[in-house]
Amino acid sequence: MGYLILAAVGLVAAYLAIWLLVAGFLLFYLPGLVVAVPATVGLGVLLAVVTAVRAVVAGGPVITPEMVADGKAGLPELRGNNPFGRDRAWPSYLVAQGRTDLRRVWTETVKAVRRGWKWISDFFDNKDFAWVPGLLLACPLWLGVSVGALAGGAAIVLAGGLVLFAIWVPWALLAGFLRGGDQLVRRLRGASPASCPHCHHVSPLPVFRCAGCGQTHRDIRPGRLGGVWRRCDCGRRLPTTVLRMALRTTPECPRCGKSMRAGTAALTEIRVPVFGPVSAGKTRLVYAGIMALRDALAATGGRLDFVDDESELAFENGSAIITGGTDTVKTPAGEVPGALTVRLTTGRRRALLHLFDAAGEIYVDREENSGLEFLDHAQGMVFVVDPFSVPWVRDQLGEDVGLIARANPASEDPERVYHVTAQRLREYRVDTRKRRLAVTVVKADLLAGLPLASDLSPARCKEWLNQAGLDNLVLAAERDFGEVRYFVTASVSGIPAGDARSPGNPLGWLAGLTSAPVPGVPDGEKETV
Amino acid sequence: MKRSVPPAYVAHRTVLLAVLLVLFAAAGYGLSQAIPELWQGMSSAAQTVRNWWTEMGWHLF
Repeated sequence: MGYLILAAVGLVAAYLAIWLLVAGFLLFYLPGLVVAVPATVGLGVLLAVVTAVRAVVAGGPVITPEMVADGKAGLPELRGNNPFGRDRAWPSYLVAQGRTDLRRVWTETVKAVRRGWKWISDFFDNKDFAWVPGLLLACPLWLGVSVGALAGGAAIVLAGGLVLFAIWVPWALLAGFLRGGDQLVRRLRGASPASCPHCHHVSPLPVFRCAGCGQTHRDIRPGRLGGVWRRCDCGRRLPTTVLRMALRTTPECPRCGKSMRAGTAALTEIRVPVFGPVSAGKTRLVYAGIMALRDALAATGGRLDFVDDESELAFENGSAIITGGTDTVKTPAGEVPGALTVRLTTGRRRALLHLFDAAGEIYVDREENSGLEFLDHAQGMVFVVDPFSVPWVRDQLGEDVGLIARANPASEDPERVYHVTAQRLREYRVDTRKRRLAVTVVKADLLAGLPLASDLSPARCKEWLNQAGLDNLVLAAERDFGEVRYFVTASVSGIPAGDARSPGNPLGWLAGLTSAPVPGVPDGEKETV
Repeated sequence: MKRSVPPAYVAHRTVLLAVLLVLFAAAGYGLSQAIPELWQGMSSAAQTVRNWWTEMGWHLF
């Protein structure tokens, strides 16, 4: 009987407990959750905002110039085979650091949510039956916070991404415009590619050094390392276009690392090799030609000056020889000379004229002339013909040993030198049809008054060369080159500017090709010696 | 060693932060405007749940 009473009491108690549970669940717990969970979602959004602000203010991992140089900045691979990689400079915020910051906002939000779950797990796991309030209260509430935080974090990242994209679009357009404009202006101006006067390499992208730390910047153009300005590793601000940078600092050759001439990559560049046999008078023509150009420019209000000490010193020595009427020193064979550079200025226009004068021996040696890289990138060439080396002239001079000794004739046949050089240009796939050639008969001062030169003038120079037996040379030159002009010059001082024999005429004609500011060179067709 | 970042980074982060704060303020304002309605909705939903119990008619005795 007692058992029956006990069982009845137990049943009543169980019924009561179940009733209390169901009533509590439906009357208090569920309605409470219906109100509390949306509120926790709002708290989650607040958590995401606070986390994002903290992440942005505190700043996270920074994409440094070291990472850029090491290829660890997450920037795309450089196109082409570039052994040097990217320059050591701060990348634009929009292309690297912005992405990193947004990623950090997201990861910090996720971390905050995870920390909450971990705390709940640790706190309620350590006590008996503690999982019940954990499961019934903490989990649903933190679930609301998590949903709010993740949704808020995603919205913040999306909004931040849109903001950065909105800034990036005009930035990219401006950088692209600057990059294209820089390239276009340099090409139109004839400033690209830039010439190295030492190793004769030409490069569309010269190297610049930071004036602050000396760090090299191999590609200064607008891009991921800066749209309008670039920030060097040392913190110094550098302009991004080659033109702007070249006006501030002298570029360096990307191949040999030596300094190019001041103004290189910003001013028009004209590369003119002067070639011919040994003792033809190439060096004399170069110095006398520069003197004549200087006088001609001065007469028209322009100016010829030097941008490097090396060229200036060489010219001072050379002009002293020309003025003194003495012989020039033999150009050393076996070494490829550096360029002799002059800056031509007329009004606001400026140009650099690089003259290359290698020893005659190098031109006739097939192996040695392969090193004459300046031939490949010349806009025009001067071929020096020594009339006293032409057998027809020598035959007519006969016994005039004194004159021949004074002329110190070239030892090589001009035709052979021309053909070996032309062959070298062909082998190196130089499109000579796009180049101009100034065939220059020098030593006209020594020919003056001789019957054999009575009809030698720039206008009749071609016929004179044909008559002198150099018809094959004339034929080959006109076949090989896009335009050939003939000059007769006397590499001596005292020839007035504008004279038909002026040694500045061939240089002036070739310099004028690339819109260099050279005053009117007399038309060879009209003048006579 | 923590490196100081270029001024452009600071400027961009400030812009980003300003935009985030503006968005947050806008969202907060929108939410504050919607709170009475939300509260009403949540109260109504809670009451609906409580009504289930009443409708069940499961009385203790």
